[in-house]
Amino acid sequence: MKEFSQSVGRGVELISIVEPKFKTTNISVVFLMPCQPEKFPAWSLVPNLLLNSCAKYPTIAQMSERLQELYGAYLDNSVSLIADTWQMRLMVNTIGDDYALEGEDLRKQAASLLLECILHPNTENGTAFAESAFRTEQQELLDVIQNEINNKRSYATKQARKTIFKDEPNSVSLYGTEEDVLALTPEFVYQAYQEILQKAQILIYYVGSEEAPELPEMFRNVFADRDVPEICVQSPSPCKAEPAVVTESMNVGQSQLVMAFKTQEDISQEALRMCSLMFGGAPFSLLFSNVREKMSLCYYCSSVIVYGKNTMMVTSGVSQENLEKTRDAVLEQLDSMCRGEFEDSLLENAQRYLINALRLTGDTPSSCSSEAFERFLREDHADVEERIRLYQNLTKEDIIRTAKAFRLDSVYMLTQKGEEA
Amino acid sequence: MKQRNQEVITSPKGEQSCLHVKHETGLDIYIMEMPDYHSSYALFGTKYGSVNTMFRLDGEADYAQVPEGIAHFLEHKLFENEDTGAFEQYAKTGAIANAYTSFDRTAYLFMCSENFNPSLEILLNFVQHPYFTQETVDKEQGIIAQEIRMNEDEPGWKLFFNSLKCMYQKHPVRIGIAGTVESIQEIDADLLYRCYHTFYNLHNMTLSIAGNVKAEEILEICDRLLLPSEDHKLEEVYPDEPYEVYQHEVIDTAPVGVPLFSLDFKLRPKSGETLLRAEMLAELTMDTLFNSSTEIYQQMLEENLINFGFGVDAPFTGNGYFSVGIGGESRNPREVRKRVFEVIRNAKDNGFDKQAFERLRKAKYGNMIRSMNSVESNASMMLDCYMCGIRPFTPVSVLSEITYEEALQFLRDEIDTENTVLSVVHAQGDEIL
Repeated sequence: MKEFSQSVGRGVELISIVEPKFKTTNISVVFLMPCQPEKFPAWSLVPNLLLNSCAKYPTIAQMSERLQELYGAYLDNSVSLIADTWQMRLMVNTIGDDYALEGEDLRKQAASLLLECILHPNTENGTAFAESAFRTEQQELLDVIQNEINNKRSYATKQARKTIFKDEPNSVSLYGTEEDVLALTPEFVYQAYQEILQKAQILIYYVGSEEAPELPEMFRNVFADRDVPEICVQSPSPCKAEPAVVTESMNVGQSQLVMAFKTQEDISQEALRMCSLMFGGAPFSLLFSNVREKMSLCYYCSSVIVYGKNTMMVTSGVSQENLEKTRDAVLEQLDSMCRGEFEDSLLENAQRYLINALRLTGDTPSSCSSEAFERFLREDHADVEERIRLYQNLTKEDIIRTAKAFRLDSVYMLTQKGEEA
Repeated sequence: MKQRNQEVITSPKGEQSCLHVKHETGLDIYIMEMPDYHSSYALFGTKYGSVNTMFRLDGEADYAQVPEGIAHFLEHKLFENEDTGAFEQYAKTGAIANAYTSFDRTAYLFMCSENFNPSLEILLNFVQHPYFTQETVDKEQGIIAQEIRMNEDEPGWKLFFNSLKCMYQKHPVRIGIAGTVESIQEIDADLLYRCYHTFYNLHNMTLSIAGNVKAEEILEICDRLLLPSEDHKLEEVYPDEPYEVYQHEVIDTAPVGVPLFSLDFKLRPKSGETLLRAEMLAELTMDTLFNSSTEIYQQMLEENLINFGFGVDAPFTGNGYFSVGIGGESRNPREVRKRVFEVIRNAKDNGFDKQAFERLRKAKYGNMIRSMNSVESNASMMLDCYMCGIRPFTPVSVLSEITYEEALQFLRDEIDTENTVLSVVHAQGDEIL
């Protein structure tokens, strides 16, 4: 695999990853903006407005037809928060030119399509997004907001974040409320997009089987020069003096438990991840072996680190009568970790597991670009092997110190209606 | 080198090939060496899923009728043996392991970037050495009960099983994969052993591996660890399922946002390559009629009858069942059904857009190429082909053969607007028009 990076404008970087084994072409454009929570609803509408139609293919039907012609290429997008940084990723994927049945230059055509979407959106006179496309996307976003209730685990996590990150951008929904979305106009959203286009830090990732000499030319100077904005990807969240406890009820068969633990100490990402993996991130972890396997309380009880927020979140789906018991069991497992009451093999197993997972990087186009992006976020050039060494150097004492640094910050429970805990 | 019953199978355009070995124990082994990859993925699967509720072996007088959800329960329990659990063993190799049970199969899998051979030994050992006691069975009931509750809270799951219950009058595909909280109480260690010895016979199983592996090393491990196995001539019984659906509509409530719906067409069941061809025809035809480039899609979107969630689902097929569905979210699913039926009737009479059909065929070819990128997809493809009784890469050949005329004939003969189920899940208090 070869990776090289080049500037295609001030504040705009093209990172090319060439891996001959891949049979596809992936190009993604990442826009990074400092958080402005009041603009989240408008910004959330932008990616679909850009990718579902454009000036050249002004209806969804025309755009779909074009994608089908490109062997089922797809345009995809995601919007997320990385600590206090808002991220929008616009992506096109098609098969490699070698597999085109009639020798088409699919890579070039896919890159052109993505650029069309970004630079020549479907607008009314270049001052607002086209009214009909806007109404469709607005309704779509309203539906997405209403549907957040459908998946109970993710709904519980989202609700819990309101408490966990109270008064921080991470507590705010990226979509906003239904009222926020209804108040948007095609003009306002277009202006919000112009701000992204002009001010965001832009990273372009190409992952394909061969070098793409045409891409630098295609992307050079298409974005205005910009001063790279201040990007904050580490934004420690303050821990509450007393844990906040929030209960919500709904007509569900299974209750949801979300617990957040925070540390105020300066602990490396590696130690945080390793500690969470040992605590509840794998089938040999303490939560899986004890809360699920030994106590039979749940089907899942797992932990993850929220990147850049020094926070570990535990989620579990349990029966109503076992909510308290599960909460106590999670706390007990963390206590035992703090006391060092775990086998040395737990750390060794976790190291093997992480190393194994890290070495899988490079086998999918998305893992290649994600890994490169993560290096950018960490502001270091440590490759996979160097990162593996950091994990290998962690000791049992490091894990105990990390576990001890965590304090319970919030508990959220989604309970069965009429039977609140 | 040991003489083996084996052959190399290559994809039609030569992009990929795999080795198929019929092992002396009866096991079908598929290996795709992908030396440029770091990862390897192994699946050890049996043709045993939730629909296998009634069966007997050659020489047995009576058919066994087992509780709902037992295949899935067995999958959970197989991870434990007398001394230690499989997860604890995998922890020593670093492999990421899991398993799944569906309607017609159970598969145990792991993914790794190193220590492949020791991980394979763990896989072959634990799947071949069951250990069930009443105590461990009782302990699992709490965990699985929570899995069932989790699924019941998932509105898409509810929508799907409600539809199956209406489409199928007798076939066990209408029951939940994990069973019910009540049915799993009937499971005991003896029943698990009976099911295990019936279905976990190497003649009924496959090992499918793709990635940075060496076939010779894998086969040496198989020679050493696979237990001799006798073909018991498994006999499965499925009730006679009528052609007609049981009920045309089912409306249910759950805490959801926009009402979810699926409109499922019950088709005549098929098997082997005939089924594969029919699946592709069903999917391509319906996609041609209802994908996002069609007028009907555009119109319904503009009228706010559907949103971007609308689309054709992959056909649902197996031993004795076959359906194709369209679904998504709608505040007026009955109107969507009416429009869908109109489009189908019109296409039956007048044909449909041939260019669109060809475009979608091209897109499907693109998807097949795309899936060759990943070791998981390749191993899963080989397992799927075994389960369906076809050779690996057959889907690519079949896709290149099918024609517009065949698709139109399929639409006319097989897609029956009189034999459908509309399943809806909406929030309590919402009115469904």
